[in-house]
Amino acid sequence: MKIVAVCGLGVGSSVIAKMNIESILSEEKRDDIDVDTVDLGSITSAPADIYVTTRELFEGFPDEDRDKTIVLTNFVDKNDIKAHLDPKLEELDK
Amino acid sequence: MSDTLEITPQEIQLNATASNWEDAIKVASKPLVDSNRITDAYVNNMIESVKKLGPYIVIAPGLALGHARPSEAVKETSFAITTFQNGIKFGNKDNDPVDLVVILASTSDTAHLSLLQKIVTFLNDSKNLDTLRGATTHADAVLIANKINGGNQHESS
Repeated sequence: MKIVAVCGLGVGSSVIAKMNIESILSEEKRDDIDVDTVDLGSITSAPADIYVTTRELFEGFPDEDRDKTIVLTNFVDKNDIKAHLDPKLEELDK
Repeated sequence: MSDTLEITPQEIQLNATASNWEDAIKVASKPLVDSNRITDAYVNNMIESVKKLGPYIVIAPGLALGHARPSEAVKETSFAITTFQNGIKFGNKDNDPVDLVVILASTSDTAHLSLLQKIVTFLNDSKNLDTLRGATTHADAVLIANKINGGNQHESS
C-alpha cells in the first residue's frame, strides 16, 4: 500500500506529515505501507492508495483523487493524524 | 555532515512581536539572515509561496512553518524558531492565530531532514509546545535547543 503526503512545495509540511505517519505505521507494525511526499503540481505522477494534505491544498485536488484523500488540520499531533488515518486504513484492508 | 546539524539558542527568539504575517516571517528569519545563512531573496520566496499557495504553512494550531524550495538563496541549511507575544493572522481557518513560527531553509531536498526529524519529535509532545510558548529567557532557549538536539533517541534507527 502507498500513502503520499501532498504539500505546496514537497519539502516542508508534507515531509513532517510523512515523518509522523511513518512513526505511527511503525508503531502499528505496518511495514507493508510506503510513505512518500510530493508537491501539489506533481500529484498525477504519484499514484497512491491514500493521499494526505491540508484543507487549503485539498481545494486544488483532482476530482478523481478526492475520495482517497485525508484532510489534516494538524500535521504535528500524532494522535490526531492517527484518528484520521486508522479508519481509512481499515477501509482499505477490507 | 547534515547529521550533525543542530539548532543553537541563537536561532531561538522568544516573545517577539510582529504586525502581520509577512512581518512575522521576516522577524522569524532574522537570525538566519543576520548570520548570512539565507539571503533576503529566500525570505521573499517564503512570503511569495504563501501568497501563491495560501496559508497552508500553518500546519498546527498556532504553528506556521515558513519555508520555500531549496535554492541559491540558501547558503547553509538552517532552522530558526520564534515565539510571538501576539497572535498573528495568517488567514488559516483552522489554525489561526499564529504565535509560533519555525523557519526551514535547506540547500537540497534532503539536507534538512535529520534536524527536521528532531524538531518534529520535539513538537509531537504537547508538553514541549507548552514549554516553548512559556519560555522567556536565554536560559530557556538553551534548554529548548538541548531538548531538540538531544531528543529522538527512540525513533532514530
